[in-house]
Amino acid sequence: MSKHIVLVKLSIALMALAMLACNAVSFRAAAQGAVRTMAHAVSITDKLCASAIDKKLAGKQTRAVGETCVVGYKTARYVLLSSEAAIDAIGEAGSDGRVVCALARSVVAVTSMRDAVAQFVTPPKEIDDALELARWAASLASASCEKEAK
Amino acid sequence: MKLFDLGMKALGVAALVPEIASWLHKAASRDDSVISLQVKDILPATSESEKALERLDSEPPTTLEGA
Repeated sequence: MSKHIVLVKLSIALMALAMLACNAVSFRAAAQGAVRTMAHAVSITDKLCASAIDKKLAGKQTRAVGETCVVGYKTARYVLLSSEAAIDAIGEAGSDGRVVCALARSVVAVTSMRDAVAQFVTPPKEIDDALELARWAASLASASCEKEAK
Repeated sequence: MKLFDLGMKALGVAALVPEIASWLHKAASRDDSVISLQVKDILPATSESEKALERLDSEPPTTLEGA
């Protein structure tokens, strides 16, 4: 897990450096960084969930917490994979919107996992940093996500 | 004398060849999976939470029957 935390920190530091070095970061670069950082954040949160399940920290609620984590992981993985594919097509019609909506959905999924596990353990602040980075990257392009949020 | 120097240099380079070949082989066969930037490599299809839930299900149920 520490490898993922280091990679999240590194990604965020690189993004910050890129932002300092240039006046503007391209949407593509921001989205790439956010997707990778979110993937590591999902991995960290998943391991926290697994640990909470194994230790039965939630008592009778262990299964419910575990199921929230499993659903959050599957959703986040699916939308991050689709976001990665959409990044490769940036510039084509609709691809920016697909990236924005996938990032937004990954934020919702990771937040649900994070909140589920935060009742029993303190999540590392890198998860919140990753969420903030993803929200920022998603704000760089406009999209209507209602249709894809189903 | 020049021929001798050239010969010595050639021998030196020849001695390095296995070293260079070994380095190239190591570089070509190194484990790239350690650091990956692909989402599919960072997030396997089966999550740790799912595995933990399976472990939870496989535990024998605790009942009060014996009490």
